[in-house]
Amino acid sequence: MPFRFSPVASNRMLVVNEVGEFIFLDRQTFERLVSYDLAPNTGIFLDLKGKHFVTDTAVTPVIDLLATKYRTKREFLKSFTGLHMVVVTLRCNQRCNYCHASSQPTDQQRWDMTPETAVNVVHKIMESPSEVIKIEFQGGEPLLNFEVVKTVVREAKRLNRKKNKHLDFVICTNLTLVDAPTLEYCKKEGITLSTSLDGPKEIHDRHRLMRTGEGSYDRFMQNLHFSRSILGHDGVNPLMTASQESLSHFNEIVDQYAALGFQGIFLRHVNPYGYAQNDATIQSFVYPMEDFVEAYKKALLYIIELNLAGTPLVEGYACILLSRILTPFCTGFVDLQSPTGAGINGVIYDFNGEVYPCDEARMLAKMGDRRFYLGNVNRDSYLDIFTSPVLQELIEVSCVETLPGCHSCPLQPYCGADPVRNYAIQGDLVGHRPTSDFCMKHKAIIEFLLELIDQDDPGVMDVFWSWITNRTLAEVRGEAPCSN
Amino acid sequence: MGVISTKTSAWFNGKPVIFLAGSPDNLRRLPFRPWGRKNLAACIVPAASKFTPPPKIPCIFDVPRDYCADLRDGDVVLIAPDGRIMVVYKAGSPYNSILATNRCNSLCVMCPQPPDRDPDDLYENNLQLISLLDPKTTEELGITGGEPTLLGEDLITLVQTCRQKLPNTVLTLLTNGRRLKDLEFARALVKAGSPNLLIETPLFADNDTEHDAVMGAKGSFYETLQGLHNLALLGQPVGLRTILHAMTIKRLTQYAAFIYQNLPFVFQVAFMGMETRGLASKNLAQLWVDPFDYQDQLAHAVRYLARRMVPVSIYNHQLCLLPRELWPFARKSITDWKQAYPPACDTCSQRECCGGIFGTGEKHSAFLRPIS
Ligand code: SF4
Ligand code: SF4
Repeated sequence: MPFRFSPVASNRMLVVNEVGEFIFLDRQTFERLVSYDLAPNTGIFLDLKGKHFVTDTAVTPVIDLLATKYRTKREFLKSFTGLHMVVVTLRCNQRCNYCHASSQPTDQQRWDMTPETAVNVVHKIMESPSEVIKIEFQGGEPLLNFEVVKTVVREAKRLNRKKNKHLDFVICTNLTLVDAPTLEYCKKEGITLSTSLDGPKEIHDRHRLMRTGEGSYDRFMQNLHFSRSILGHDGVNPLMTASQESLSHFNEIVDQYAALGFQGIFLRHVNPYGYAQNDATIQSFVYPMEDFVEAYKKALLYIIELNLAGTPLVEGYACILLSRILTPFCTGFVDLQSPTGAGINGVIYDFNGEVYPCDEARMLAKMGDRRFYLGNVNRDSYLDIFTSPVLQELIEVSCVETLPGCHSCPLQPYCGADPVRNYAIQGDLVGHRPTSDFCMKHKAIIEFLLELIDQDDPGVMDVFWSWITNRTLAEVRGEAPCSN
Repeated sequence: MGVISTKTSAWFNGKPVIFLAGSPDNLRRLPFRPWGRKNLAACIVPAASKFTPPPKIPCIFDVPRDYCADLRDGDVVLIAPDGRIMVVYKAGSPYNSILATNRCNSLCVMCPQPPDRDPDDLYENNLQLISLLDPKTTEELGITGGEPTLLGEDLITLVQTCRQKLPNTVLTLLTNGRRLKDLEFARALVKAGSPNLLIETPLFADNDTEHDAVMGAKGSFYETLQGLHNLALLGQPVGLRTILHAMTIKRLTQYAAFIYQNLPFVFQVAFMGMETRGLASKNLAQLWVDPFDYQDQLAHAVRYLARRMVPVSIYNHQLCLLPRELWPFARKSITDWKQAYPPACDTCSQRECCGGIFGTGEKHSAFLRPIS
């Protein structure tokens, strides 16, 4: 049966099949496997057979089983675009050092989305065949153009009376501008807030600055508590961005997230383009990926320890990868998918109605390269936009099965492709894996997780499954009094 | 065949009644009730009773008192021509089942009831039994074998009859699923039973080599898998069960992994202790592992599935042979008439929670110890 393999750090061979079932073999066993030298009644042969790497009897039923599993894994392709990001304004009251959203001063109203454009955006969104639609308001600072946010919500809900989709709204805000009426509105409409928190004060304030130059931390904290008091504890979810300086402080950042009672943290590498590329603080953001990966691994072990000691906290990135590795189900994740999630799973609408497959593509356009422009909601039809040749090309060059380097990589079932990033950094859509830090990062982190899983420590596995299945450790362990 | 009644009135409309005399003990004859006489099929008279049955009604006299004490209103009994009384249904018990057939298309190494030929009237008797049950109080009913799917169309009629006559009863069909690889047959079965039908299927390994060896039938593994996938396609709830012995215990976690990867839709996986009876007793040397010695393997596999939110049950296991972390998964599963508690259990604090042992088994663990 088909499988891919490659040696890993522990001097063993990692063997993975087409649907992501894996096994580590010592070199000798692997040699015997590929030279058809394993006896069919040995434990190792049966292990390989049970995972459908080999068969010594029937072939057709094994292929049928693999096919069923393969279809399940790829189910995300059925639903099409579910995440719709709407940039309601480019204006922002902050000016963060790594901001790649091309933020504009607060008084420049011409960077706002107009109500007419907003209505056209909503009509495009609601044409998506996806049953689950998430509309994410971005900026700039979306609260600076709150009327248009309301227009989108109102119009989407109106159209949804007929469409009956599962509809979610999220506002990505720096929280510094929230007030009671805004929060009451969000509560009434079932909108959650997504915000940015980079860590304790010194770390947060180093790069997240107000337009006036002072730090934003104190205001952020004040408003976080205020927002929670109205929206409920889980109504606000933070994202962190790692700068060079925070790499050595991951544990403190994790502690802070835990202390604030957040359900999870997503240790995120900074995006290498946008403002971050031409600012004076560039050295804070262009750091070797190896450094991030090392810091990430340490922090992940630390987070696992925290969980085992009784503080539940999910590491979001690991959680997604673990679901991919350990479950037979499909795990959609716009940023790491094959074919790429850009366009077919997520899409972004700029303030002027222009549509791009992802934020990075929109940034490239801001910097003068409109390579990934898909169309404009004010002029083009849904079909024009979502079957545009640009999007078709993106999909064509983002199937890991066909990408040089990825094609033989055993991590393929867990990984994905990012052609826009390849284009931005390496100059072409297909990209070059040996020099790609995207590849380096995923390879390192996925292999790290695979080794952890292979060690099969009961505590670690309980934590992993508490993340994947969104349960407490006690629930994962099935702890319950004698119930007979 | 008829329904037991100890009362002289309120006889089940139209169903044949078997009157059990003796309560009250001083009753000498049945009060005259023309509508009641019509469906009075037989009388059972306990030893030393002064009761005189009505004329021309078949009657069994001198039935031992403790035997009569076990009979309850609503029980269904079959009286053989030679006067033997067989209880075919015990009212209020969750373990009632219809033996659809003794025949089987497999021959499992640990089969407690090896396949046999069927009496000619088995099928008719079963249909009659179903018609005698009380739809209001019959909560659960099993359909077992042998291999029930060997009845073919008759099984579908049987299931349909159950669903029509007992619309509130949960039916649990025990089948090895091999015949359900025929999608049309599976579809007809699901249609006949849904939504009251649960199907439970034995699966013994993550590979055909081992599974087929346990089943004693080459090719059965993939047939069963295809059957299971057919059922999933039809939206039919299915559960899996395996029996723990030397041939299944070694690779139990791989078995669990296989289920999660290939059959994640199952509503339950049951790990069952072996009843050392029938072929299990004959093949004991080849099969026996003391449950005390496989606790680690069992714990690992159970935890593996529980983490993945696959519901797990442990059947036929004594609590003193399970690590405490597995207690929440243990079910009291041994049929009441087979259930026994050896003397050790007398001082055990967990007796109430524990299902005890198979009174019918030949061999039991050497490590049963009361829990303080
Ligand atoms: S990007 Fe790298 S790690 Fe991912 S599939 Fe391609 S080669 Fe493998
Ligand atoms: S001693 Fe008896 S009652 Fe107690 S756990 Fe063991 S088998 Fe069960």
